[in-house]
Amino acid sequence: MTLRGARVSSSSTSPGRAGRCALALLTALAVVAGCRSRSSPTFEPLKLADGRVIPAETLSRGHSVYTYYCASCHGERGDGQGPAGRGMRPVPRSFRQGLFKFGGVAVGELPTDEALKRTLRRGLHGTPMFAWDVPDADQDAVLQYLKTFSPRWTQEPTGQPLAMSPDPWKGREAEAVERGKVAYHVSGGGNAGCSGCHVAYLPRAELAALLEKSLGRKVDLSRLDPYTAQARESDHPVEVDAKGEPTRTQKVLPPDFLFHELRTVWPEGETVDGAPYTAERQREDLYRVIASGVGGAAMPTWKGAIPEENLWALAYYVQSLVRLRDTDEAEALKARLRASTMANPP
Amino acid sequence: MSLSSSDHKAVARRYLWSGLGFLAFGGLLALLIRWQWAFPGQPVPGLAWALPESHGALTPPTYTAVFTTHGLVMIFFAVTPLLFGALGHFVVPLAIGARGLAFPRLSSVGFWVYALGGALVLASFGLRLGPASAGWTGYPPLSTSVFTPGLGQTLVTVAVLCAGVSAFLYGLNFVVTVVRCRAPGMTWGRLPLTVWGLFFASVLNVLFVPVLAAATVLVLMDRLLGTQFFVAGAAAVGGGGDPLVYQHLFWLFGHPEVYILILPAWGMVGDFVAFFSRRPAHGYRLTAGAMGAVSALSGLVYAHHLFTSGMSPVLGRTFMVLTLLISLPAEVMFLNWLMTLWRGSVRLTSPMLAALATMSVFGLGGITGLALGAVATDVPLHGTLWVVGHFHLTMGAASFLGVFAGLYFWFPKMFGRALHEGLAKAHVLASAVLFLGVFGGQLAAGYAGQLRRLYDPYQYTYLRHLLPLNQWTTACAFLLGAVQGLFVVNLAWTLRRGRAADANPWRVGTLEWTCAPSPPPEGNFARPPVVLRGPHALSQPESIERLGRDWLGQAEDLPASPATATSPEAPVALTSGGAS
Repeated sequence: MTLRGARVSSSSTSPGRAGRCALALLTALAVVAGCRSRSSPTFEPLKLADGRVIPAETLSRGHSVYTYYCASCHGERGDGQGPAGRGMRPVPRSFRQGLFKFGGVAVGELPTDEALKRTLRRGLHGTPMFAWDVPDADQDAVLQYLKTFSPRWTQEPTGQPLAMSPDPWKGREAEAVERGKVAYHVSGGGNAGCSGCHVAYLPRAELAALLEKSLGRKVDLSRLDPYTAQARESDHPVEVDAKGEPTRTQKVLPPDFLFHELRTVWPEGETVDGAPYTAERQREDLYRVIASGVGGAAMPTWKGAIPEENLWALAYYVQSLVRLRDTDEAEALKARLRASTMANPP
Repeated sequence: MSLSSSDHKAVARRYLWSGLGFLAFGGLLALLIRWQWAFPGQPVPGLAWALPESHGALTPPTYTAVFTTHGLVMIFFAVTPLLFGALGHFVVPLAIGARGLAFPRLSSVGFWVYALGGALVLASFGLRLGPASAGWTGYPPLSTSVFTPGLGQTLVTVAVLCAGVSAFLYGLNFVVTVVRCRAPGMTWGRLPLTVWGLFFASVLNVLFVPVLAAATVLVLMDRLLGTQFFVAGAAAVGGGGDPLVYQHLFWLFGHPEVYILILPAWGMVGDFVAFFSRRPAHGYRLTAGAMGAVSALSGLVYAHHLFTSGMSPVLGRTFMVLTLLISLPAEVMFLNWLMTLWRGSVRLTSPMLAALATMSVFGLGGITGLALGAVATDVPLHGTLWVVGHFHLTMGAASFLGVFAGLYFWFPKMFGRALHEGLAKAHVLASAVLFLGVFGGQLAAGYAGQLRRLYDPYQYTYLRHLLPLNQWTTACAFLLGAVQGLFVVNLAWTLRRGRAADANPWRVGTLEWTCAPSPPPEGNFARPPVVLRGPHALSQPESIERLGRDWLGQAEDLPASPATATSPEAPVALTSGGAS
């Protein structure tokens, strides 16, 4: 500033003394911070079993994205033991097992990138796994980085994505729901018998009639409780030891469609993944989970085990239950089911 | 002027430029936050170079970094340095008739420590995982390495420590200067109210900034050395730290800090309403005493920030009463300002307009704060934008307008050139109105339940209808940013070819205007002024009668006989102090 004689000569201080103090402080802090802060890890290119090679830059970027979005729950080591995930049910997925619930492949196989990306973009409904708005460009990086946690990715190819057959029931919804009801409650003969694990949604008398009609013989329901689900074992660790080996696994209750939120299914009319969630999309999501099963949990892969038309019919039937959720009708149905438990068998 | 000069005016100028720089930087960060709330997840025009992955849209991690750094930068690197570093360093020695600060080298060192902190904040933007992102309060466990593992959080924590060191140093310097270096005759009862405000705030700096330093050092030890002072619960591997302890430490500093940010502005308002109503300040002693009472109480109210943190409800009630008590001295001060204005001959100069605007926004901020001081109303409002609107009105808008009141007032003395009055008035008025728009919008959104730090509030169904309100608020914010151009233009133009200012353009009697030219030379005064009266000797009948003007210098001898031919516009006797 050289205004109007505002010039003031350098006054009494020894020049640079303040600067030297500052410099010394800065150096000391930089040394401490540099020594103690975790240096950013370096990566080798990751050679996947299917021949693809993930370049080191992608993994490094993925590591940053993982630290931003994932590590607080899924853990720095990918073991699902992040500090914010303690006590969370369902547990945050451990990536060290290479085991995913909604992989879009047969249970136990490694999921496709597309399925992982779908979960990342949409989140899992009813859990703290939200749609975290990871930018498109970073989604692939973090997916590839996940693959560094489990050796399976370098040893096995990813599973074949289970293709979605055309919906044979288009326009015949009521028929499909009726067929689905049979496929849901009856086991054997191309039916899935879902009510064996999930609960049944027919009062005792109707259930007995349906079983008799489908199986051609009377079934004694008097000593059974088809309306209470039992928790099942899963492979998902709640606790791990120092080496990252599971010491305790989570028990999972098969969802009651009138009560629980389904992880991959949203209410109709919401905006999911940037597009309105239609009844058709909801059915497709149901089909996908029924067809492929749920990895690590008791739900098996149904594709190939029952005819395609029954798979789709089940999607229609479950959708009809999902639509009832949280309505008075659902309450009334549950009351009827409970009452029929008390009533005398036919 | 040499960068190593420790003249208080040189240090003040260094603080002024860096403070204004950080003010602009923090303001731009605020506009990014506002953009995100108006157009969530959409690319910010012109930001694609910085965020190539998202084509310029704020991602959640960027967003957290932006709101964290906005708060930190504004409080520690913009407003405090402008109020104390720039205005305080410049005004305190001049207004008390001292040749300089008590410890000139300390003030220079303080600036360089502050500059180092600022450099660290800026540098943290270039690091992997970005700058700090645990919120400006840096609450653990968010600010521990478990949740913010990046080096940026560490460096910014160090930067806060640097800002704290510098605040402590100038606080100490001001206290000693005011106590020990006053000119002969400058009794405590003759100090300008600005000096009172700065003095009390400096006492608070000396008492409470070390608490922040302690909390920050403990966090750094948690981050770097593996201690667990604040790590507990889920994040603890063992041991028994407690994150709540940090909240106590932080707010034991943090609440006095909001008074540190407003007391100097209060002092200026008190002086300016007197100067520009051409009357002595009404209830000078009460006003100074009220500022003292607020300062004393400010250390006893901090736990109202913790009503919902799991603190004992009994403590909550205690702190509620103490908190609400603070409005009594504040009210005394406010009424004194109004009484000073009452039937005064008000001159709406730019500093006066800024002072009146400070009063208005601070009044509104104070009233909205009552709802947060009372436990019952705080519980639903806690963590909402109501809080944000409230504290931005008090320590954002009021401090900002206080800074500009002071800057417009002392600019001719600092640089010897007069700013353009019209531009300055337009800047002050437009800023004040838009501040009300921005923070009023935030209060409304907060009252409707919008939580303060949500990345995309509209993911919640109950907040979806607030999008138009937020867009309106954002429009006000961008306009507010744009009108700062008035100041920039004014500043640049004035510094290049502004009209030369005379020694006392405002026709007031305090020492810096009556005993020193604009700008004052090194050493400030040719001879130490001998003070004869208080700072607000305005419209005194005897001065009008004998000197023909309505103001009287604090160190000016009043001639015994009526003026012969002295006109009110006559140049000031620069060395009147001490003249017999």
